[in-house]
Amino acid sequence: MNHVKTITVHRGLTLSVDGEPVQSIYQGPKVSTVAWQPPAGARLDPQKLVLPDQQVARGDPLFTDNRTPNIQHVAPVSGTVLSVLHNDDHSLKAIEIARSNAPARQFVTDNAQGDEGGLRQLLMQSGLWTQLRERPFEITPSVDSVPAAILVTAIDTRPLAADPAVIIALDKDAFSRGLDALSLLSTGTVYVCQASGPALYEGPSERIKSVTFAGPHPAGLPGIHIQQLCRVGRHQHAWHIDCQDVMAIGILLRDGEIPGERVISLAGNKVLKPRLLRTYIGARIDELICDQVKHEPSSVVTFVGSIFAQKCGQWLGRFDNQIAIMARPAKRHCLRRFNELRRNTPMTKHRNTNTDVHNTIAGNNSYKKPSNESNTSTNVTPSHLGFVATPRLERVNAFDTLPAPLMRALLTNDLVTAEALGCLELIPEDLDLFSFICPSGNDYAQALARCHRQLQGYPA
Amino acid sequence: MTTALPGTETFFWTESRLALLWLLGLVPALLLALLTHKLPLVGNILIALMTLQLWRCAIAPLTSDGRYVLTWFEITQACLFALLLPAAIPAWQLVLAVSFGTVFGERLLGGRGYTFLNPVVVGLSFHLFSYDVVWDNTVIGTVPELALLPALVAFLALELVSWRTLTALLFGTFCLQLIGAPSPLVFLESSTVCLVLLYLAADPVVGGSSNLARWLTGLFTGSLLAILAMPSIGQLSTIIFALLLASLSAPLIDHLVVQLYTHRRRRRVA
Repeated sequence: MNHVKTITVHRGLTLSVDGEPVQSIYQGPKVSTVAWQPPAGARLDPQKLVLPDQQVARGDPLFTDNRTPNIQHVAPVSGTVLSVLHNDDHSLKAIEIARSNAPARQFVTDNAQGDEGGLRQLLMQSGLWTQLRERPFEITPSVDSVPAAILVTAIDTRPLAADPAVIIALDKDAFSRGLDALSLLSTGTVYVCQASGPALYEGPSERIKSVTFAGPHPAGLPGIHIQQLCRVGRHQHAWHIDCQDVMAIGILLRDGEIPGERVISLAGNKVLKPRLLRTYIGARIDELICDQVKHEPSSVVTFVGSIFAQKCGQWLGRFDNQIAIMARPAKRHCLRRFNELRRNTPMTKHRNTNTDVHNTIAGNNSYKKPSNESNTSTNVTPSHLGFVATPRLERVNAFDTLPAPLMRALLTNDLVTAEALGCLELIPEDLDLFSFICPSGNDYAQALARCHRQLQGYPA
Repeated sequence: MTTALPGTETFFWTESRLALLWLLGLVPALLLALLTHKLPLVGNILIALMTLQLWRCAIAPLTSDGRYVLTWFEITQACLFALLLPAAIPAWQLVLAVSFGTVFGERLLGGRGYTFLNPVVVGLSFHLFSYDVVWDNTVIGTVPELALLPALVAFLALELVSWRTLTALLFGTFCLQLIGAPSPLVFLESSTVCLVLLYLAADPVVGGSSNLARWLTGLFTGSLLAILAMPSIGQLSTIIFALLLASLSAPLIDHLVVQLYTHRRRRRVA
């Protein structure tokens, strides 16, 4: 048996939350509506968009992107298109599909077996290419991009997460087929980043290595894996991909169709039976959590994705592996209400260009809103909340950076310092932990996203 | 997005609760001081509070946070002003010192979290420079220093102050003892100095923003304290002056540490 390298992360945060999921997989509730959502950091220029009432099969292209016509965006399930939704800035937000049991589209995989060009072509056709993420900037890799390394995330240290080893055990054959295929795409190593336990890859290939990560969160985030295994920067790129997407590649190569299903964890202190569920990428959240909540829905709050990010959403995102249902906090304190009332008078309101940040000032009872609002802001350096560099930030920082100076640089839009402190190696998800523990109420993930947009040459 | 998620054990400590802790740390010393000074001390605290509230209301419409009610930090500041000044200080001098401190040390720079100065240090420096007073009868001087021990323990346990800063402060004064400066133990015998070190010198606002910067700022502040206090030990005016100089140089130390770190990081990544 191969010797598995172990990397221990010493700093971080283990959050104990009631309602840990049982690590066994159940069939999820019946979901009738599923939505396709754009991939990470995508700037799409859709042409030949599907129309409502059009029939699509799982794997059928939904539109052609003018900027990268080779990369297809496909329907995650078979069914009938319900609606095409746009954001305020007219970019594509989602395509809702009413699910049916029609058969999936069959792909010809003969050219892709063992051939890099054919495999790239197949991944792009089948839409699985958009499940790959490239750092820096967390974008879908360009057609001809060759990464220095590919990291497979088979560990999840977020609170209430599903254990990836349980999911991989469902179809080990598909996982190792997927890994073998990935090793064709890069000249470097494919790292399988996993928790302690038996090596998840047992094949013969020299270029696929299992690496064990131990320690508290963020030991399971790709940001840590990339910093430990393959540094990225302006001239060196690395890809990372979730273990379920690797299994999807394996299934595509074996069966000729893309799997529409995904295993997620449904947990939290207000869930009747915290467990792992088999459902669809883009499933409607309200259908998914229907009859799963202990009390009436108004007394709970549902987070899609990590608890640290506190993101609320209508559909399961394409990279979300968990849903947490938690008790809604108590009512606000009267003094705080008074302060808020005053803050919203016309006198102060026009100064608050970034209302999203200011609405969250009110202390422990506020939750982040869906962050779409801030994207329309034209202010290059939106105001931020006062921020005291407490030693606590250092204690949870596992990344190779100085946390307080980095955060200050991000908040003040100091791009040069932020890049020097390593913001290219990080993505917004990595900073959610800091937003979570910092008492000031700033959203560092949002600040990092804004800096990334500018470093890529886009408007803030 | 401060988040005390119901159902999670951690993160009871929101910003306002942490700020309240700064005030609670002062309570034993305040109570003991009240036994000796009674009414004048209460009067001074009330005057300082009213001044701070006035400035908050005056400046709130101009700031982004737009808060009209005093924070716990400001209430703590009012108590610190009253404790560190003589009980017999004329009211108008107190009003001017508090006003200068809060306006130029904090509100003008945006409030706590934006400023790199401690408003109490700024206000006391103003009083020192303007009225040429000799401070040897501070209110806190009559209180045994043990009254601050609970605060020290709580602050260190919750990481409100950095143990690195405190250690470096003492180490800085200790090193200079070798060249003739007074021993840090002499410093600590005065409860005035203890209060100043814990609440003003170790305040995370004026310290560095990384661990190395915290060590360096602490060492620098400690050395300044020892050098300036050489002729007259425990003189509050020299300590306050040392703290003002140290907090003015802390951003530079911070910047140098970031430069050093990014230089080494570039070599590591390349």
